[in-house]
Amino acid sequence: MAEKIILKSSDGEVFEVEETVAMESQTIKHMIEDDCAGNGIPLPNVTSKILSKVIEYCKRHVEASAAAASKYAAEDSSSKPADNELKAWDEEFVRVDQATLFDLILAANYLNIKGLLDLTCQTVADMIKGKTPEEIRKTFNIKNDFTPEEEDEMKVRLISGKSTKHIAVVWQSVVKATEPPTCMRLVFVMENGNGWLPAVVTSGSRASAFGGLGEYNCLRCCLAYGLLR
Amino acid sequence: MQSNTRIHSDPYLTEDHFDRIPDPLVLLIFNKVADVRSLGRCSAVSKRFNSLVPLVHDVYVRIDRVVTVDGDPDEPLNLSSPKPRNLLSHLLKLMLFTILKPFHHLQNPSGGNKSLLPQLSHHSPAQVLKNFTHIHNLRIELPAGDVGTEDGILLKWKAEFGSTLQNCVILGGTWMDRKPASSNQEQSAEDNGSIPESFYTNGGLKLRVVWTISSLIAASTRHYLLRQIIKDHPTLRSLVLTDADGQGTLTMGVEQLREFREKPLAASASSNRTQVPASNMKLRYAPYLELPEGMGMQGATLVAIKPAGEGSSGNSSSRKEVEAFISGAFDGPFKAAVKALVKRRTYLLEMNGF
Repeated sequence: MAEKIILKSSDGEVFEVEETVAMESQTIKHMIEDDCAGNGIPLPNVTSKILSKVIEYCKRHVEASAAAASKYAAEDSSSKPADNELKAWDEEFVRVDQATLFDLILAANYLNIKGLLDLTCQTVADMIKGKTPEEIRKTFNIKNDFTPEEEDEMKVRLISGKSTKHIAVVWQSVVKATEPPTCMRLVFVMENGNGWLPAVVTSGSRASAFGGLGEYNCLRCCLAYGLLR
Repeated sequence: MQSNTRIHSDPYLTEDHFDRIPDPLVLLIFNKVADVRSLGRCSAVSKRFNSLVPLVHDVYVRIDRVVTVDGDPDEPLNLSSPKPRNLLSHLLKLMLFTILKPFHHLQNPSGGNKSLLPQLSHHSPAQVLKNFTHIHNLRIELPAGDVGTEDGILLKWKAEFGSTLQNCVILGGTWMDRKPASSNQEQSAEDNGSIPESFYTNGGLKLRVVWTISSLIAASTRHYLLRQIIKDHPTLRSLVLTDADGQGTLTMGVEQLREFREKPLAASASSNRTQVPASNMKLRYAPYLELPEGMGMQGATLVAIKPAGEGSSGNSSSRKEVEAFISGAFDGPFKAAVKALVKRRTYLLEMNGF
């Protein structure tokens, strides 16, 4: 009774799937509704390897929705274990090499399968979170196309919110004002081992932050005055 | 230093897969990253990432430290928030003279006028967000709840603001515990839905009023903090300000953000928070509630606050909205608590603006 839809991958393989499963893809759904599914739907952008994975995903999720629907009808609120199972299945599903993961992203986008797109993009996002720029580049083999000057500029901006041009001017004027230095104590607040918020205490008054100087500009200033051992 | 452990040779291992996916998909991934620190690092990865990060729609800012800064006229503080406890006792004294007797047992911290600057690695959130030009959905998480409470006390609030308070609901309990299923002593005794006499005599009402005022102060202070951010980001469609303790949530939706931009904001007398308008409060109380997951709540109270004089309460659609707001405000066992409390008898209170 369940209608079958024919899907053809880019490398000529033919897949027969149930209509409900195929309709997880909005792209395919529209084609079916527009009556273009007659002789099978060609998917020139999706290889058989990826298409079989996509179909696997859709099957599993159609099953899950059906189970949830019947539970809802029976007013059974014990959906938690099933949800956790599905989550675990999803996690296992995306445990693939990067090439496949990005192929899945492209396929999910082309076939317009929201759940799969969300899942795969979230996986890549999780691989990005918590990494430094260099680590991100390593993980994804991204080429660093910044010049050293541009990198310096970015580092300073990232830490201080100001551009290097601005910093230089501020730094010079600060150095002039305290020459010879009347600093009694230089206090550095370390944050995550990355950023330094420098503060200078001058003769008894409370600490006033440089508030925005780049880390190495301030360090340079301190080194110049032998304040940093 | 080139990597690490390659067990099998994979021709794709050296390929940059991001090259294969178009910008909109990279943005989708960035939207899922959302955390502003991680996005900042992404923008330093490559020129392409650098150009895409400012276009992200969903941003999440987690503030991990609130730093005390003495009022410094040179430093334009983008965000400043008065320490709620100092302010609270000060304001309470002023205001409660007109309502109730002053609370002498409240702490009187040696507060000066210190202003706290919520900071994200020594930048204010407004500063950190300056690079983003297309934010639609912004979530900010403060490190802790604003209202200090004693052990065992539960206090949760949710407020909706436009240019001023639109809706607020507060859920409080004097004690939360895990009760064995067999206890139902207090429940049957006074369960005629009305508030027992003990509530008034053992300080119950005073305590609830303190909860209410503290929560409103916290909410209006947070609201005031957001001025700069809302001004800087005309693309904003939703703004949610929560805290890591899960105590209070401030939300602003599209309509509310629009109202904020169009109508001028009324600051309170101490001008570090928005003025809270004169409001009507509906209070419901249950001496004991049994909640799902084997939890119990003593002295459960639900307070729903709505500014007075806003389209009469006879308007059924707005009443439905308010009901929906209240029932959807909290999750988990608290949702069940609200559901149970809503059935109880309602007590109406009026409050001046402050």
